[in-house]
Amino acid sequence: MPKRAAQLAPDSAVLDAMRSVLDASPEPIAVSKLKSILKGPLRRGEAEVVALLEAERSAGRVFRYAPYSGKSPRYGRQSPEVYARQLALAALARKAQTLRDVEQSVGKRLKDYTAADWKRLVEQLVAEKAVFPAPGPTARSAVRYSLHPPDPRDYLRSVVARWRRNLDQIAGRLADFGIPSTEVTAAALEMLGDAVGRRPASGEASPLADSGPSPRQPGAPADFASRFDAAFARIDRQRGSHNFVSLVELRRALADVARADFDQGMRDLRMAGRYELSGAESLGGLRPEEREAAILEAGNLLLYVSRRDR
Amino acid sequence: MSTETSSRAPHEAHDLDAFFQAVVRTNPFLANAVTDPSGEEIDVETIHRSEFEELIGYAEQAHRQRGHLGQVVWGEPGIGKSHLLARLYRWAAQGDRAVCVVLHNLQPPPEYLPRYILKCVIQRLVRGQAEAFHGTPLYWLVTRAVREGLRQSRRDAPISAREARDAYRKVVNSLVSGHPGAGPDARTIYHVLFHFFLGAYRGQYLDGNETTADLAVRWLAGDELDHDEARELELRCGEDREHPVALPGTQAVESVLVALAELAWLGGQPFVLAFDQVDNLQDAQIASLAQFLHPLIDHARNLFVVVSGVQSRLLHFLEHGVILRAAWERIAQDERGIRVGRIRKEQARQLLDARLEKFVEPYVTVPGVKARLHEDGLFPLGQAWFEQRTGEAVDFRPRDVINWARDRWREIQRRIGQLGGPAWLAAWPDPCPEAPHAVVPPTEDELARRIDEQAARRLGQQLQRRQREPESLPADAANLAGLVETLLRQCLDPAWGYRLRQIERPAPVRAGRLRVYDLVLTSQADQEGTTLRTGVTFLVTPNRTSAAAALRRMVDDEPPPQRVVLVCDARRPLVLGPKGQEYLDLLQARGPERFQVIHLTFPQYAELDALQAVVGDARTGDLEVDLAGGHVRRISEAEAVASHHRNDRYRGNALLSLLLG
Repeated sequence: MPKRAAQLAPDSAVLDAMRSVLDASPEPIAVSKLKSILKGPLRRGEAEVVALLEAERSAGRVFRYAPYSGKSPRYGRQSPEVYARQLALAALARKAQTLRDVEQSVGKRLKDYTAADWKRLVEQLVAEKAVFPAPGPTARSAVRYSLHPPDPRDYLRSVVARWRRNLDQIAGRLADFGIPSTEVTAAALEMLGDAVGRRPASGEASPLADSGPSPRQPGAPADFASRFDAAFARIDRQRGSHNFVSLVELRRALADVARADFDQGMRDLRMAGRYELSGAESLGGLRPEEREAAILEAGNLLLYVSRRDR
Repeated sequence: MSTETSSRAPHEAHDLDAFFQAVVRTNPFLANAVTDPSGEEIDVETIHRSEFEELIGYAEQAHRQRGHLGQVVWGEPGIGKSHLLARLYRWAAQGDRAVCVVLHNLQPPPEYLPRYILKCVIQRLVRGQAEAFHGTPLYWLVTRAVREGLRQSRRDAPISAREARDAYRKVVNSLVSGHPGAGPDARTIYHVLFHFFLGAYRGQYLDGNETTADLAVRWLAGDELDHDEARELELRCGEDREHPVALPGTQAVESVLVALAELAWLGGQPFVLAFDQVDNLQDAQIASLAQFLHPLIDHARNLFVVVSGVQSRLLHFLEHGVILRAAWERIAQDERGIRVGRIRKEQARQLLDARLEKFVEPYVTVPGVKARLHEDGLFPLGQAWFEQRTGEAVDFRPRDVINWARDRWREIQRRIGQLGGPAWLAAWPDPCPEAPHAVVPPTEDELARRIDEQAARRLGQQLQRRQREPESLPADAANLAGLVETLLRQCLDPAWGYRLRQIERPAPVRAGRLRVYDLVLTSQADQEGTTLRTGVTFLVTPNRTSAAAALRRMVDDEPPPQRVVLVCDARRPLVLGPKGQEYLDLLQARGPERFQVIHLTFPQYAELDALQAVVGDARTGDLEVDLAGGHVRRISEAEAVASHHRNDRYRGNALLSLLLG
């Protein structure tokens, strides 16, 4: 037997090596790259590598992708649908983008995907609530997509900054006539409250001040439990039925219920053993709306609701 | 001054003074996390009972239906997930109900993860080789198969080795034929398992020599064997003697686990693989774990896989495509998973009762203690304290309840120190200090001090766990390399004052065979900007061929880095033939400035693993400091790393100290 043939590992070992490399890679890998990592007894010519991969492809174990930076085709373990989803989510995790931006930033990696495919994918992600549409910075901008629901603060920031500058100018002018700036600010806040139909009550608790559990009040609407059940079931289903729903979404779904009434209704459901809350553990810290929606109890910030099955 | 140990008062100490001393010297509420799933632990069975029964139900179902199941156990940090897995482990061990392996803090590079999982499983099944192979769980798994074969042949002992082999073969045929998931290497694997059995039997009853069993364990765990060693196990060797013999690939790794599950089925036991705190893995590691578990669950019979972690983090991995949907559907066959929830007030009380009972038990007949216990079952904590502490809250995290009791106990220790024991007892119950409700943020220094305390305590617990269970950290080059790289990356910021500036890891090559150095480090040698390059190779193998090949690659490397560090594990010392010794001599001739060998001891290895485990705990939100009024603040990953730096814990380890310069 020729020496080289004796040293070559069987095809199954080569496939194993390629599978382990493909498994470990979040991206499809070019044939030339795959060939270059097959050393020693595993080494094969490019045609042999392609033949092995094509056999895997016909068995549905790998998928072929068009070349990216080089000329050789790429292969990956993930299907184009899964890969497209990963690419879109990764792009949107970096920053909010328009559909066109998404297509331009990641489309080169998945050349077989058409504009219509990307549009369909993003619409599907929106339907799954994995991605949220939001208006652009101006009225004429295209819709942007991100992994989080739009935060009104992002749109109000420049308006508030402008308002703040004007306020400082007026406070400066009034200061010359003996009016302290604190008085000017208090008056401005009061007028702002009136303008939006909500005046902050004196001593209103910040959502973070732990005043202990809310005192029992007969404030929860009579139909709170049934409405809560329906909202929970709907959101849970949309989020994959993991029995894990954020208070942010539940408060939004029952937006007409005042905070104190919502908290009381939630407490009643917990006391009845129907639902439970769990801590606001989140990757990368809590978003402001999460912090605001959470309930502080016994030293823990509680954000997620689960139905008690037991 | 009180010392915080968990040792109990001696049983013979029945007088009041001994009671006061015990209160001052011990605190039964110090441990708030599982440090050892197999260790002695106070367990309140009524807490999370239904979740536990659900777990057992799945395990039993996997066995009854000879099927495969995956389930996820999730909940917030400090809720009791690890306690639940520890309870599952103890249930399995009592009366040999199941073969259960609990794995945690896996640190190898992603491409090596399946092989490392296998190594951990095998090491658990031979109890870390701390005792003879005879009588280990792995021995009994094969023994039962032999017995089953004899039963089918209507034979009784005593029998010859040949008869035992024939009987075993018959059983193996029935296991392999008609099982498409067995894998192409199944018969070889069963064959090596029989060699293990025979070697262990001979070692115990004939000549005391366990060499063959040891070789079988090494091969089954994915290690490489020389041709001479492989021939002992009747394994096929290629023509190239330089090419060691090992499990051929990931599919073979999977097939070993499939075979173990089959053998467990013969013995009437489900095979349970539990992965605790998987959310402390890096994205690439968790992706690799999911990709490995997917076909394993598909192919194995009689297997129940449990994956545990913080729910929000696991869902994040799923939603961001780190865990692919298809793999998730195997790992969590019920999308709702097993949710470990908060406990009610009466259960919180039971949690405290269980620890108090154990503490006061030697003193229940001491008159002063007896009277107080009679009037208040929560003595010395006190029912009034409990009522005030729990307030109107609906439910609780077990960790919070334990921490509150720990703090109350410290207050009691302080009062006994102030008043003396008899006066404290006469005045008991002290009025409980009003718990402040508002969050009073600590100063930066105070916060850092508390983080340091908490990180040091957790580090101690993690070390303790590894010392109790050395088999949880088998000698393994890839895991060690991954661990060291992860820790060194935490030291790259020049602000921490180390000289290390860059870490390179050569592209992964299968099984790392062709890599000269696992890591190449660039450090700043002086103020003028001169750099020092260090090549680090981790070599943990008793295999002469592999060792010689690795050393030859280092000798042949031209030009070599200015410094080369060879890291070995003292538990698996290098075994060198003449060629290997020649290469080592050549390297050592470069002088100690340019070539160094480090024989890492187990405590040093455990220290590295524990350092990273603390950072992993922080990443999953499982490391917390208590603020005023019982408020809890999570310690972030960056804060845990900063605490390690502040306390010079990296340089405290001999290997890291050398590499950091």
